[in-house]
Amino acid sequence: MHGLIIRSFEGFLRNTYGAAFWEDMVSALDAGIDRFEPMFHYDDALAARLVDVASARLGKPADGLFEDYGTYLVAHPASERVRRLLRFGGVDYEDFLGSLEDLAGRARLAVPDLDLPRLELVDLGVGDYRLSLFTPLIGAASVYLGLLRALADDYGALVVIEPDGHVKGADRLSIRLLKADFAQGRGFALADDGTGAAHRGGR
Amino acid sequence: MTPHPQLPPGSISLAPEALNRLLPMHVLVDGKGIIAHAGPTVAKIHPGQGLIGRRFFDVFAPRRPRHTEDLEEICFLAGGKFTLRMCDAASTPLIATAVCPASGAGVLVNLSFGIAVVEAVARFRLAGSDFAATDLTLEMLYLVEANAAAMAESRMLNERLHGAKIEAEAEALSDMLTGLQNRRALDQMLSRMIARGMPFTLMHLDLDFFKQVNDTLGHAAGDLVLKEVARILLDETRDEDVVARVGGDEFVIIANGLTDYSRLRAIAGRLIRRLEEPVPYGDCAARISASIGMAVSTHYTAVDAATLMHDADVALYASKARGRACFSFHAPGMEEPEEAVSDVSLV
Repeated sequence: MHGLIIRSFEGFLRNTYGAAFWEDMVSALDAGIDRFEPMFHYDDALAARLVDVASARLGKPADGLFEDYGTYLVAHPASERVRRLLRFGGVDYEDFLGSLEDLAGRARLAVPDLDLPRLELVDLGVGDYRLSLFTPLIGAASVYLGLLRALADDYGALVVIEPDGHVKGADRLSIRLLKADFAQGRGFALADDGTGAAHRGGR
Repeated sequence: MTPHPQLPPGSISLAPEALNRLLPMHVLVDGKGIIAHAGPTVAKIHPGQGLIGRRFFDVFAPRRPRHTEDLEEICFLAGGKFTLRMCDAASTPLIATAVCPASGAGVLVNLSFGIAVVEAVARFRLAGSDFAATDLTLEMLYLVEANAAAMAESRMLNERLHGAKIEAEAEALSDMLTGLQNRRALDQMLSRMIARGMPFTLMHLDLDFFKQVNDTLGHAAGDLVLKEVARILLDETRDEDVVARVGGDEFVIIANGLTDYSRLRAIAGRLIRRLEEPVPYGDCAARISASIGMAVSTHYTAVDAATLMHDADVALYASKARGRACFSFHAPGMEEPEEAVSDVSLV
């Protein structure tokens, strides 16, 4: 597992449940690691154990944790960089959905060894879409569920997203775009004014 | 989109709206060099008054080529490429391509920010909709930002590693040159042995004539001698003993469990003899000796590290005073050195 992913999951746990919870996680993991390095690679089994331990300690199912993590990636100030990079995908939510299939390629442009799930978006007409995720990463569909819902808020779009089963090796999500300009949204300037949360929190 | 009867096959005409969409940064200049139309993004970045009706080269100062302000001539130079500066406060640099439309007089100029695009986007608060859909500016801005993020992560990692290295050095317990224990390690070991009430003898060993080796043969020879000394000290002691380098040419040995004078004499004597064996260095040989002072832990009712170190030091001073290359045991009433033993004053 790429360190960037596991490190941002660590950031999610730290920022959501506090430093003490993280210390607790570190001793429970007992892996000789008190923080993950974004530029390293980690054993998938360790990543899975991290999720299991967090899920058990919080009494929260892993899927719920993954979904919260997806929301965190867009909505939390400490993750502002990720939000900005995602917002480069489109001028509005519909445009963004259209660029979803490029997301893994965009990520690889930035970090060549970062493998994100391959996505396939089928436009079913009248605002209905079906998104298929192809990935060995566990929980990816739940992460994208949280992420896509949070991005809808970010764009100010009214969207209903639901899990839509597992077909032919792909997890599927159904996306229904009800209104593209439902609310104000958070806005996005191409030029980062430097006050972005890139320097706030999270470390 | 109807081809003009006299135009070459494949020619098309475009309405301004179509041009605006394809080339949001274009400017149409008439035969007299006056701006007739400007795309929406050019209009957005140009400060103040409107562009229409103004002389093209009054708004955009030529950078290359400088010698001509004839746009029709520029169309035929170097593929119609030229560079400009907008006459605004920031002198925004621009790249331009000029073509003569097939349909008549005038010149179509398309502008681009080139490599200055990142600053330009910030300065003019441009949005994705200010660029043509096929323009790669957004992708480039994305990459610039992604690259900055990756660099920031990488820099933070380097800073953390650097901090960890400094910390590790500060916490190091071994001497870099000889691989022996260092002062910190010795202090830790000494307090541990005292706390456990283990009997031992502290041997303070100071090299004689080492300064001469350094002065005559150089520091490389000095380093070689120190490594050789370390090898001999390890060779002549047991695994359970501690051998530390505590200064330039000062060493301390903790002889674990050894308090018997005759055995200690034998060891000290053998150490000095072996250290006196010449160390070959190129065509020369480095010759040194050593003085040793010893303090035995069982001679004290209440042992403490500072007293033991001090008494071993006093005994070492006594050895130096007796002419060096010998060893002494600390004894009550032994003459104290006027100042702490220092190789500078004695060697």
